[in-house]
Amino acid sequence: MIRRLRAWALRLASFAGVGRSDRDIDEELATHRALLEANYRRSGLSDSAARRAAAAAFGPITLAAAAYRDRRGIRPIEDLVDDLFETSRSLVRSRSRVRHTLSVIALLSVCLTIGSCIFAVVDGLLLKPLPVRNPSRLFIAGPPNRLDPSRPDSVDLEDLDVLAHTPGVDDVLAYDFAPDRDKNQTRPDRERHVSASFFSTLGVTPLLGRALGADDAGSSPRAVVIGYGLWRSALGGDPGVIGRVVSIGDARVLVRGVMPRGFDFPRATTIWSLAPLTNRRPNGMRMRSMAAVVRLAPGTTSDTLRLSDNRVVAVPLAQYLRPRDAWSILPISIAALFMVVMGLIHLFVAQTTHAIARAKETAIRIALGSGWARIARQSLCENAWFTIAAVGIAATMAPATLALLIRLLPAELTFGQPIAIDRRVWAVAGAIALATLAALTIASLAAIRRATLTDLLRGRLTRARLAVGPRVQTVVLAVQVAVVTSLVYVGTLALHSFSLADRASLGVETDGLVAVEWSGDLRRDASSSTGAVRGLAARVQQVPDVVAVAHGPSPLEPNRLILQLSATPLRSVADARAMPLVDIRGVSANYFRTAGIPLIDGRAFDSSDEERDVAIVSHAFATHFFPNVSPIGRSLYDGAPRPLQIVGVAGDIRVMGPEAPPRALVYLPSGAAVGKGLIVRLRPDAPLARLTDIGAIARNAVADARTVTVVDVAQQRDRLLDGQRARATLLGVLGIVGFGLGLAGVLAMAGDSVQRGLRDAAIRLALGARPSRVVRHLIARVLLAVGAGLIVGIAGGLGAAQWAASIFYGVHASDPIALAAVAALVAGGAAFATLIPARRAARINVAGLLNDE
Amino acid sequence: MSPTRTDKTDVWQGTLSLMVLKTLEAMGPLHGFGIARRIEQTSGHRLVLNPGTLYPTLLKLEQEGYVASAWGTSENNRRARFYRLTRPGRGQIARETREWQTTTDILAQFLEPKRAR
Repeated sequence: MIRRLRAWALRLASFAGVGRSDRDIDEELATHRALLEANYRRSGLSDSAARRAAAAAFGPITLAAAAYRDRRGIRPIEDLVDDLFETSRSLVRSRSRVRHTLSVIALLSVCLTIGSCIFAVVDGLLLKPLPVRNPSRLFIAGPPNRLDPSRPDSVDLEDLDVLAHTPGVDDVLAYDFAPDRDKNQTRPDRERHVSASFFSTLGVTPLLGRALGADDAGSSPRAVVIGYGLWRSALGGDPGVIGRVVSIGDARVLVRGVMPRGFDFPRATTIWSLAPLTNRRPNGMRMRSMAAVVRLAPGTTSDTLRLSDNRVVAVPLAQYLRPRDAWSILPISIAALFMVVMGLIHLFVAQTTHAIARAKETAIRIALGSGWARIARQSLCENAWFTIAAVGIAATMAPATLALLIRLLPAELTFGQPIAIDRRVWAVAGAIALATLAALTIASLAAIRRATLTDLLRGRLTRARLAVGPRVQTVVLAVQVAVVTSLVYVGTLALHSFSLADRASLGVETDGLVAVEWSGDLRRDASSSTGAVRGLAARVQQVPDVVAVAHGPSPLEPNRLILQLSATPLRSVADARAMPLVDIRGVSANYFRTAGIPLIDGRAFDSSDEERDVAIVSHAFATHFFPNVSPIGRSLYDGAPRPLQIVGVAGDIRVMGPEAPPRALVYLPSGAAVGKGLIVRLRPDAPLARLTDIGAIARNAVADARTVTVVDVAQQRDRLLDGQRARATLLGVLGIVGFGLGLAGVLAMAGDSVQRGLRDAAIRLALGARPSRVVRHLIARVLLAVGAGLIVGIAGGLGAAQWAASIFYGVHASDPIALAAVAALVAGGAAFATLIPARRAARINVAGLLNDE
Repeated sequence: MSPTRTDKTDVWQGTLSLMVLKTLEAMGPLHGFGIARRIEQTSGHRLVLNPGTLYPTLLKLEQEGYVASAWGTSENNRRARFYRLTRPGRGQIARETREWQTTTDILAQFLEPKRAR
């Protein structure tokens, strides 16, 4: 066995030049024949007779040499290597071959690049296994949310206790419902306080370091686990960070561990820390402030879960572990897939045309004794070269393309997600590309083999013989037109949405509006904190170009303060626990005017309201809690002795972006008392330096100057619109590129279709038919295909647009103007693509063409 | 007079290796032509050795390590590759000889059953 292995190893090594060279073999055989010849001479034959006798006894020296070489290496591999070298030269043998080679490699590269990038995104967002142990046993549990009873609301410590003691519950974890946001960061970095059981209940292990344990509670600086994205962006991916105290934003923290890429729970959290979880009671109000996740024992269902009042909703945690709106990438993926399909159609046309062009060459080689197997092998070697080159180009282009794609996708969708192209993808993509090319080649060769040698030599192989008859060609053409129509329609809607989103109103006049926020206390130069805030507002008011200053948060900042409110009096504990969470904003009397938020009903606050229990609600709040009646004069109950009386209804603010429903908001007249923020209205022509001036005043006034942030609300608006713009741009770009590719395809196929009909046209013209009639006949089939493609494409586009309309702002699935424009564009493009070859057909030299035939 | 082509027999499959090894054992280092000639002589010119058969066999034996080769000068002053037996080659001769004897003994029992009994 060892001897055989040694022999095989040496045979393999011969590819690297180890062992006999061709020259050695030839020389050894020549010596053998010379010695044989000498032997015959010694036996008395003349020189010539000895030479003839030796030649006869030895046989053809080439056969002996071939047998010798067969043993030296491994014949099939040697043949393959020979073919690879031979075909590599033939690919650039002539100008037409170079053109074909370049076009196939370019098409394959584009298909592979687009395909691999889209796969990376879909895989990263939708297909990768969830980063927790046994996700099917994890549920988010809580009382039903009043606004959406199918979702669990937040819980308090009593709820957690009940859940932990429910039979069938293995473990319970809790985390703070509202995150602490690092406001000085432009990234969506958020810190969450979690229970010590967080990591063990989920069954997640940090990539580096360790999870937080009970012994980390109360450590100073506080011990944290950070997310992969933050570790890479803020700490440069330094593995030595574990166990060290580092600064992240304003905070100094002790890094215990780094979570693996793709772990994003709770959503957008980048820092996990332990904190005592308590029932918060701001303003004396009881509040559920935590979310609970339970791990059920094997074989237990979520039906067994109960809270103290028996009402519980449990939702599989898996729904929260995938990025929100992850499915919104599907339309873009489908659009990209369309592009790949069109690329493949082009490839099909290019390969078929090439096979026809080479049919005569193949016939000559067959006539000269070359076997079909060798021809097939060489064709496959060509395909292998195409694939190698295309995979190489795609692998080079893909990282930049993927980075661009990720940049164009909404950041909230892709941040921290494991989107990357696995190296194995290239192996699979290469195999698929090679298999596709091989299938096309073998189909062409099989058709050539079925044709007679005479036909081949006379160039009579037609596309019909290559299984691309007129019918198939018509169908392919129609498919291309349909794909282009759908893609361009959805792209048009996307671009339309882009322009709408750019002008979309979020309910606030954002231009010239600045928000100043801080944490902690103000320096006391007034008798009360309210006075200190008013003093700061007065100083800001004196900055040149400042038109107005009001107390209150940035209108576009979500989750400033969340409280439970009810529109009905509380009669029991259960009522209190069932109260929904509402976004509360403490604002001054001039807040609405300063922010440009219209008052729809009732009145604005006045200076006397600060001492009264009054509220202004948003329109969305009013329609939800007081449907069909005016909310003015109605009461809101928050557990305090006196209810809040509604005195006005303000216009809605779309805090989550133009496409999301407006948030239910309640404004209280206590801006200076509880708020730690001002909004400042500047003149439209105010220089940017005013933001610096305002920031300097605020920093002077605040005890901890590092906590001051000055935000241009117009920029906040831009950030909210980024996702929309990105998706719209991406689909728009895909639509434009798709149209270009499709038009090229239609041009090629229409030209080819007309070309095939030229002989018939020549005969008709020779028989006296009018050129216009001949041309009409020539393009009839093409126009039929284009018409059918348009109908299917419009139907497909309307279907795809249903989906697109759900994620794009301000557009409807059926937009008659866009539909008509797209139909006209595609039909015009197809007509242009058809008329060029048709005009050429009308000018053909009839005699010349018939002579050629 | 040398035997005609039709009188000659092709080398049996699998026997050539043993013949080559035995020839090298008996004659010492030899080039391919010398080995072929010796085998033909030993068989009484009843075997014919085609170079397309001989040289692949020699190469196979070399790849398996039973023979080694080196360039030298032939009797007519041409450059020729000389093959010599290696130590594993001697062991292989002993093994193959035993196997052939066993095979021929079994065959003999079939061909001459009376004598065998």
